[in-house]
Amino acid sequence: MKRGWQFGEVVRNSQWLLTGFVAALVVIGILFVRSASAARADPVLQLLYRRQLAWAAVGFFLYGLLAVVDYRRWVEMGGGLYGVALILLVLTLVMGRTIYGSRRWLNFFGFTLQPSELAKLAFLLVAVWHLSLPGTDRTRWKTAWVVLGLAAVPAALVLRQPDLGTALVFPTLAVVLLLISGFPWRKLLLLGSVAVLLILYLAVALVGPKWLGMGEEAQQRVFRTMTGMREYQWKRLTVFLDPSADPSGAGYNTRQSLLAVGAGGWRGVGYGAGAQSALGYLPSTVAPTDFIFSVIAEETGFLGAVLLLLLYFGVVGCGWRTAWRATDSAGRLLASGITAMVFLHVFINVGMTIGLLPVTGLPLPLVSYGGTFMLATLAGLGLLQSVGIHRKPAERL
Amino acid sequence: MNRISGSTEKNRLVFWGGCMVAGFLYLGALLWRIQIVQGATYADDQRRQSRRAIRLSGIRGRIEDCHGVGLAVNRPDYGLVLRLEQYRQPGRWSRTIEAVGEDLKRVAALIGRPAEEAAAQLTRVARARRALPVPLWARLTPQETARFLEHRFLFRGIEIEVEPRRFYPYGSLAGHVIGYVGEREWTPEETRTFHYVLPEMVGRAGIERRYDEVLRGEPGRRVVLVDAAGYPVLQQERAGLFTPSFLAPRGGGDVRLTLDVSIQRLAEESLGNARGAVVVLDPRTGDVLALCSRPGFDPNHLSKGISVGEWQALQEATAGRPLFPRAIAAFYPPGSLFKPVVAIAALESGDWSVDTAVRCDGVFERGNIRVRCSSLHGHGTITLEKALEVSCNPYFCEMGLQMGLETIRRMAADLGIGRRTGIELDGEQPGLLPDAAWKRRRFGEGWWEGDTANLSIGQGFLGVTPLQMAVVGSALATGGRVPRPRLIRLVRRADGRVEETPLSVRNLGWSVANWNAVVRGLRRAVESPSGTARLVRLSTTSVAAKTGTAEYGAKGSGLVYAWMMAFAPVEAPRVVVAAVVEEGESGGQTAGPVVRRVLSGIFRENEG
Repeated sequence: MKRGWQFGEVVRNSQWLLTGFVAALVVIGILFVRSASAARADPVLQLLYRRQLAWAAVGFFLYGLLAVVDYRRWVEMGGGLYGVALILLVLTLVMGRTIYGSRRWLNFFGFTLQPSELAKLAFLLVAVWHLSLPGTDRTRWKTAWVVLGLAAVPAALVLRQPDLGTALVFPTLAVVLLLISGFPWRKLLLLGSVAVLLILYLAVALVGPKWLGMGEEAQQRVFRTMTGMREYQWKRLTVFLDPSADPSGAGYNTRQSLLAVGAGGWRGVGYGAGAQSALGYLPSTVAPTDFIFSVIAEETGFLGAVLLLLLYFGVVGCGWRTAWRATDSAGRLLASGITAMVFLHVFINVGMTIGLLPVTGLPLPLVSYGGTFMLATLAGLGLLQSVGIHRKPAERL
Repeated sequence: MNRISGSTEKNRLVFWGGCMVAGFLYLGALLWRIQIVQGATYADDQRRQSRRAIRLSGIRGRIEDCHGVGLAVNRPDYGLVLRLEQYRQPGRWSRTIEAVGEDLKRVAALIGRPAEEAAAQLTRVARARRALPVPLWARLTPQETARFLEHRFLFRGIEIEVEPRRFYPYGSLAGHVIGYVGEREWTPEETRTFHYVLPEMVGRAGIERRYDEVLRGEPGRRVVLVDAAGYPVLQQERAGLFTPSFLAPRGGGDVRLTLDVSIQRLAEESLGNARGAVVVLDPRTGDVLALCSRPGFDPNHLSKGISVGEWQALQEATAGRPLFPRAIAAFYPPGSLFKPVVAIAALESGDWSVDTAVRCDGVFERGNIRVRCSSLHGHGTITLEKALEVSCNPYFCEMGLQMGLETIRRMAADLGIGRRTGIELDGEQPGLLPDAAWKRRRFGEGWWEGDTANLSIGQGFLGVTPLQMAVVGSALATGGRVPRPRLIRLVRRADGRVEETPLSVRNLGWSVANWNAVVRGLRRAVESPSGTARLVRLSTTSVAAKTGTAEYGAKGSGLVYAWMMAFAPVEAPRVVVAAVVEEGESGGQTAGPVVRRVLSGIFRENEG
């Protein structure tokens, strides 16, 4: 297995279309981060897009590096990477930087990292590694417990930051991996029902604690222990479930985002002309990050928004094709997992900006401002390339 | 080896791929609904939250005298305003206020105005009206303006703003006619399409009120773009986001009065500090050349907005109720001023001749009627002309009793007594021309001969306004042509249309002989050494006049309304003056000099 990469093989097998889609998305991201942060009076923040550009450069380097190395090596290293990710998450809780009430960032020689984003990738690797072990029986409950357990540890650590949206990504990815790996349908349904019941319980506790015989104190306790959410966070969920609760307060971002998207119409108002971000109705703290899609939808309209979704569809399609054509289980699962990660982020983020889903703070891959997530996504897509490039087992080359 | 085969994984992949495709389609469908189906609604809501429509006040038209001299005009008012967005600080509101505070203090010191005044303004209005400049100090003097302008570059967000302000160049002159303005109050309907409404003046009294519909301008509209915090966004900064929308306010129409500033001033000066009224008409047309009530007020003060205390002071009876337009709304007993009316009524009835003589012993007695004459020992046997000259009470009592109430009443009513003249001012009163039915209603008793005798000498229940007496004077001057007083010469609408007020004169068709006899009597009152109105004799022109001295208050209190009515030149009258002075001595002594001053002023001016 320990063979170096060959240039010809890389060129022949790599999916240039995927690279094209990814590059297009990154460029779009930089352009609209610039547009969305132009409203900020602070000249340093106006240069946000340059930092995004720098992160993208580093990310593409990582993308290439991971693509040329056989993904099997990374899967084998999954356990170690997972361990490193957990250590970083613990460090974040201990000595991380607190911004907007949550402790998510870690200082690293002058720049800040968001370990939770790296942990997503590490979790995928270790889960794929476990599932593709020869001794793993994918039909047994035990496998599910192991995979879900592997997801639960980083999820719990992320929940303490607190960051519910990111925390929920881990179990969701775990379920997708179990699904692809052939975990029996009946057991999956059972797992799903338990999850649905849990969510239902929380939703009812949120909107009408009286129906569960809960007082306000009990409600607070449930949310602190079960979700790690601060009050403002579950208030946000309350508003999503009951939009009339507080239109100018917690529902404000959703409302403004909807106005931005809707105002875009067919062709949008033009690049840099999006009033919602320029005038600060879409707060300048979220416009280049979580709500970048609203900015794009307002400025480029339905056509631009659909084009963006098509680019993601292209990425996801390439990922699916890679999984389909993978020759081993590890490659198939890894490609599926990475594809699912991209898809889930796109779906949840866009769903959040158009009022379909609650505001959870998941970024739009490759486009939202945010260095670590850019690195993690590009690294993940590099792995995806690697699955495609190194389709045939190294021995048989 | 794993028990799960590659084909199971591929089946699952197909399922998961389907899920993802469905997810993308769902997002696409939602975007279609939001951006295409409901896009216009969202775009509308978005526009609404980021635009503020400001109502710009219309510019009031002018009120001018018959020569075009401005009586109510607009003058630029220099004020300092603050553009809050220039001081905007991130974070708490109080930080922005702090940032403003420093500059406020410096400007206040510079122009020498109290900073507290402006600071109060800031805390009161600024927060809710961030899209508008905050007015700090208004009505800057030229010195203050100059001092600020020298240093204006030091203050990034404080600017001079010029606004038209209503100004009455002649102060209290004709205040009751012109009226004044006050800040308009709005109905929700009027302001529905605006976020902010700038103060606008509306006529509160006089012509300003009566002709408000002509004078008030067309409002303008400015739409500004505001950011999420409500601050206006400068156009230059955000070109492309927004096409500016601005509709300039337009000026209103002008009102030209028949009033003549120089005659009005004569009238007001001639009254001095006395309480009373002077009306000057052109008897041929009814044009009101002067309409003056004293005490008066300066519309400039009232339009500025006055305190409750000041307002009450203006209503105060002890101050002579300066807001009360005596010339059109006060009714006084006309006293002997009524005698020519009785005379013409008698002559026109045919039952009394120019030569009918009556003997005056200084007192008129019949039954329980007893009326004293001004002459203690009587005037002897006299005819009408002499009776008018000396204002003999017994003569007119005799005349009145022989004619009867109805004859006198009919003539008085024909001359407009007891009815509003229809002058273009609010608040005109009809006065009172009594009859038997009225007396029964009012006092529950019948009309006695004594009442008729009293009426014949202008006492008793009769009440007339100075304007009505000027109209009566016009009829006497023109041989029975009763003009409707005309205060408005013309109205120039904002769109350029000119509406002239038509003349309106009723001819009573008096016999020339009868009329000439009365005029001769009135002329003798001026020219004869024993005439009651000899004080108004002028060297430049011939004058006919009648005095009146109407007692009021408790009997013997000595309080009289001193009246005089005069017209000139007698041969072709151009001017009629009616004057009344409260708390006077007698018509001749008190009102005489007033009328004389008006007439001599007019005729010296015109002849010289």
